[in-house]
Amino acid sequence: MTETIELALKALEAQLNQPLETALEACARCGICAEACHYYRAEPRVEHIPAHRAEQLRSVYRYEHDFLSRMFPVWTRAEKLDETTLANLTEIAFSQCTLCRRCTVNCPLGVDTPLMMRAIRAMATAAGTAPEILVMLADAAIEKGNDPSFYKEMFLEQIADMEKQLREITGDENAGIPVEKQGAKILYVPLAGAHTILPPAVVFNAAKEDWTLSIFEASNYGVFLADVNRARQVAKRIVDEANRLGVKEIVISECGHAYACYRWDVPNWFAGRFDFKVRSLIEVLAEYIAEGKIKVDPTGIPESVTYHDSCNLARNGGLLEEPRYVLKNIVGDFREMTPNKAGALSLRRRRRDRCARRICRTKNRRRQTQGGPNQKHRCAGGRCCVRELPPADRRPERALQLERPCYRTDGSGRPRDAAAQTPARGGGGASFRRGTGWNSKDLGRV
Amino acid sequence: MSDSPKLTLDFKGLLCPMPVVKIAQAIKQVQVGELIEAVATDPGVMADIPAWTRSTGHELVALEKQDGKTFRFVVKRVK
Amino acid sequence: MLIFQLLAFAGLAAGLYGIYLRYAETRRRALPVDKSPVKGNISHGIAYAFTTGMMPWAKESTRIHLIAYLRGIGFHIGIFAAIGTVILSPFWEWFPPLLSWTLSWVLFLGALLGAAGGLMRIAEHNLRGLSLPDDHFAVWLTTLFIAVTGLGLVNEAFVVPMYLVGAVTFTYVPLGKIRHCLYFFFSRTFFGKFFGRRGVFPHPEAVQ
Repeated sequence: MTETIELALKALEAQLNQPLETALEACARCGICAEACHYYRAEPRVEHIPAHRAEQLRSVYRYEHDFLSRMFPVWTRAEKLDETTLANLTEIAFSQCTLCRRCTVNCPLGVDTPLMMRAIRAMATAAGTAPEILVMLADAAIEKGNDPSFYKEMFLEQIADMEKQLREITGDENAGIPVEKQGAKILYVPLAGAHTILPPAVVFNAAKEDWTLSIFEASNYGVFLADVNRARQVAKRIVDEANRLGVKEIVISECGHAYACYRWDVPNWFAGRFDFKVRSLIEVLAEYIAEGKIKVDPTGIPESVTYHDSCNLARNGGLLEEPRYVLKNIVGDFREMTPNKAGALSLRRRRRDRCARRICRTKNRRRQTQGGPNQKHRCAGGRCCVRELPPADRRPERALQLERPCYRTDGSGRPRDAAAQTPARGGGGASFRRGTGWNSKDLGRV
Repeated sequence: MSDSPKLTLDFKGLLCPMPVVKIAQAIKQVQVGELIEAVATDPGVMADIPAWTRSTGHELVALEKQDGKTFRFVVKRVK
Repeated sequence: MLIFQLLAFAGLAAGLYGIYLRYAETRRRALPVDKSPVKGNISHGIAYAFTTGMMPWAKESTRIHLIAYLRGIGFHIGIFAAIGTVILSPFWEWFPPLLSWTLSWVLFLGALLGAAGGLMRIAEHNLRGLSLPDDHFAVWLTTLFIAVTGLGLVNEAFVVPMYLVGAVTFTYVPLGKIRHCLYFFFSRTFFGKFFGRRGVFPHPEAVQ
């Protein structure tokens, strides 16, 4: 057995806990999960059935752990792990599954296929077969945390430029983007780039929020690698920053996977050192509108708009009503899609990949056949979808609508100031849990 | 070894992490000691490119803001 | 007759013991403790996973494959009816005729649905691609078990085959794919815990 295979098997063993063993054992191969997978919908092939994907790991697991499979490998197609199988597993887990959990929800047994795909990703990372670029991005992020001084000056310079723009947009000379503000209530963690800093800054200033901007980005490539060690190191930068500044809450930008990481994973990695409330920016926006902290124009966006849920925010995070509440308050004609939750964004696939393009075409067709309302993607991963959209939908104005779910931009590309919109919507503490029209039955279509 | 870049790339309009992804792909196309020059519009490169060179061991020869909107950087392949 | 009956019960005991060993093995593995703050309600999530979440209308997949899902449910009812029938075989003579009659029809229908499932695994392209030899064997073995149990109930000539097939089926449960009967409970529990904790299932009805 080569060292690569040994490392991969060791990583599998290390992860083999009750939920993973359950996922590996429970499948009855009924095939009912097929249509739940976007890859299958785009290219209906047996290889794209979630159960088939999981079987590739199961065959390795059975060879190591199942009595009957060791005696008669042919009986259960058990296979000893070798380089070819590992390469195939790596391809499946990184390029043919977005870990959206749509198959889990649609499985009569509730088999957690993404958990198995994560296990494969961890095996590949340990064995050194994971995509090099993800490793590189995770390591670069860790490097930023080790010594932020090498870019801090440039970062602060950029923020100063953005502050100027902010003041132009809001017309408020006192509007600012505080960085490293000791004792602020909220630590807002953006993605790298102005598009996730400037629009929220407009809103935070309008709401007169006590906030500070993180000097790090919310993305965590360690999570993509299922490498807890790297993921912890990437997250530690923000955990340390929040502790150092003494904030009460961490608000994560639009990024679905970053929200899932800080909301659901980080508390487990930093138990005892992480007492912060974690919310997505969308929850904060909903609260501001509901409590009347910002006033928005209910007809601000006259076109009909629909909403495409993000798998990480909705199916894996329960954020179903908040985005709809926000949209219904800023959109004149909001319509639900049927099925209304296509799920799986974050198509981390190569751009030229035929299958990924077809997935987006499938989504697009669904949207177009229902009156063609503009579609709002909720997570940053949606940008990956946008790239895959047909050229007609990649027009700048359409792309802006797709990429910036809550902040419309005028022709100049500047975000509109939500607070400057009139008339005031009578929020006054109305709960955004009420009256949003979300029906739990719809989740079945997830 | 030459002081003029072997490759000149345009990353305008690409958002994080694409400039890093692209430069990581491009670095394989040049020999050790050769330079790549790139221009990007995402301000994230000001932090991401230095972080990438530090973690990969390549050399950041230049990094500058050009006209308030674009960022130019030059990277040398070291290994 | 008694010897075959004892053989079936020995098979049942072996199967149960094997399932217990599987259960113990899985329980020995680590159970991760989730320390993230709860958004929804874990126990409601688990309750949902075993009740309304199993309803045919609760999922897109079961709505698309309604017939296949109902076929599966009918087949599984047949399996459990057959197990009960064999366990209660010492008391058959006290069964009211209506019960025997109903039971035998449930079993025949279950066997029919099982055979349909077995044929689907051969005929349907996706299912054929997914199925292992283990799957084909398990579905036909179980179908045969349900069928001979139904026949045994109405015709004494089939009682010995019923005990023999029963013994093989019970013994095979922990060895092959039929052990998903154990992991069903683990899986739905973890499903309920995960989605319940995150406030995804059951999601409160929005107030209109």
